[in-house]
Amino acid sequence: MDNQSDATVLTALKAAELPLAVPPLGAQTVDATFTFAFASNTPLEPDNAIANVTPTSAEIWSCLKVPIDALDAIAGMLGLPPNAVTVHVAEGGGSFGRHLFHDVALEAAEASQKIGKPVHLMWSRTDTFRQGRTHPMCTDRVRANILLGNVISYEQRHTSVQTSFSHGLGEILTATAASLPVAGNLSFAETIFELTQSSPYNFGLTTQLLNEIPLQFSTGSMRNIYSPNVVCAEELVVDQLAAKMGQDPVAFRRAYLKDSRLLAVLNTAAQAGNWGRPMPAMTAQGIAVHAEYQAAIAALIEIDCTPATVNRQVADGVTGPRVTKVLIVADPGFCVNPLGFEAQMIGGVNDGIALALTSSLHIHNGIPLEGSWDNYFYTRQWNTPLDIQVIIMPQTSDSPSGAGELAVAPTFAAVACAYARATGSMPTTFPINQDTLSFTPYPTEPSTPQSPTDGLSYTF
Amino acid sequence: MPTYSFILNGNQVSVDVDGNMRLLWVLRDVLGITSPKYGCGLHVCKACTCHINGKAFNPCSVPISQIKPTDQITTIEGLPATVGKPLHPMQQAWLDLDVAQCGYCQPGQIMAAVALVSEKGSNITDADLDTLRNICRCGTYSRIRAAIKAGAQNM
Repeated sequence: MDNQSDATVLTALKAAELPLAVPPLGAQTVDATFTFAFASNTPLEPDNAIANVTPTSAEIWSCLKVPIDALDAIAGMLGLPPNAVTVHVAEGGGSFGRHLFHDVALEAAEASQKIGKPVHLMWSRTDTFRQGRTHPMCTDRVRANILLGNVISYEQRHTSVQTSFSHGLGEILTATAASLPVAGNLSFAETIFELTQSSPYNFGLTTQLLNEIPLQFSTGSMRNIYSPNVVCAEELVVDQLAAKMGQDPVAFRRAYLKDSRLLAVLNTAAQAGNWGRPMPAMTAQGIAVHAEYQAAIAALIEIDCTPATVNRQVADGVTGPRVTKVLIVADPGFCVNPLGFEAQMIGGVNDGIALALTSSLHIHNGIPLEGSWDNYFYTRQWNTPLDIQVIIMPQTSDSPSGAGELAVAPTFAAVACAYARATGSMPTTFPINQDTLSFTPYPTEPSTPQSPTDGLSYTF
Repeated sequence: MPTYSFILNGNQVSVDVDGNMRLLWVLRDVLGITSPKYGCGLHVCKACTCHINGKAFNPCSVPISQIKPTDQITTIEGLPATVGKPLHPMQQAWLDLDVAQCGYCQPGQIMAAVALVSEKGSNITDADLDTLRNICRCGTYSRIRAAIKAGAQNM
């Protein structure tokens, strides 16, 4: 992978894009291509594990989401029967997809076996960014055609560096299937794509297809798999279609949404969020909807792209546009814990903002340049919205639904739509600051920089 | 190996370690104080934020040789004792507003919050809150802000 960079990966993705079937209808066509950079799924707690391996047994402690897959892999690597291996699931910092994988537990077990003593193995921060798993770079090509005042076709081609699903669906059968040469990762990925991605709009002939390229980057899911990118691309095109047809974005969505629960969250958001209120120049609203996890959600965003805001100075940080207001309206079916649900929406909002505006990896010589949280610009206090409201709709089902990832995609999309309206130009590369490297990379050797010694100069 | 001494959560402690060892690892690995979290070791993420003589600092970036015997180091384990209560008002505000998600950054967030309010006073502004650099990868920033404003009223 040493010769890979963002540019070479993008070239490979473009070459692998599946063809669109419907020809463009000239002026009545929206044709757009979007590029989404590699992103990091590392939590704040670096990957770490404790292993105590003896000739006849192994005991592992780590924060693992798929411990049964970890146990099987560790037993196989150690040459022990699975019933000689005990895996303890430890509470840990975050997950965001990284803890679907047991890379560090496997390493700790190997080290303990070779050393013959218990081992606590913790990756350094820089290693978690540069050597850890990433959400892969991907592109979305979208073409939609309008005929006689109606959208008659919508085609979307999602092309991605392969996302590893080696963890399966939480048990051994699918974890094994995902690694088989016959079924393999792409078949598995296509199934996941098919099960999770579906356009909520009545756009006539609609196809959304995935293709993957088998570049061997270390990848994985990241607080969603495909939705943040697929929905962002779709909602930006929806705004373009509305503009082409001279319609308001909310009115246009109302006319084309298929699902009554989505319509309800859209209408509630538009009303409670005062959609269409006059806004100063270089500020704007954006709105997006999403259905997944048996839930329906709308995000209404206000963004400030004025020079005074964009040019704020923060040492060793990036500023840029600020999302000033977020309204999330969610219909989770049956909400078990409203305060906890709201917390997950707030977290998802900050993830969506980061993916749209600031956080990404830059690949150089096969690995990310990013080595710390002042390189990987996840949302910080200076960019988080001062006003976040979450409205939970009245119960529509007896079943609860998933909350942890739900808000990421619609927030990402709504921020992108708001940014396009505020600046008058639709962004096609995400995050929007991807083309500017806003930090000086740490050296690659040693792989872990020394800790500073001047901490006492920064007390407050 | 040299001996270093300082006051940890009100008690004088001594450790025999290399002078270059960062205080974070003295606290965690030698003294068993695990609330200061390792998130980067680069003076960036602030997950290890503690207090030195009442001011916020990051022990990941301070060699033990820079710590004096009279220095008072406070971790969140010792925070309630600074106000003589079972919980510091900032901790109570955190619980009242259900701030924590995964929890990894939270000791550092609370220690930074207490220092910020001590410095700026109880009428904490959004501009003040914007200066906090502590990463919360779960993104519970808005509840952190609300809790700091609430906790400040009782400090």
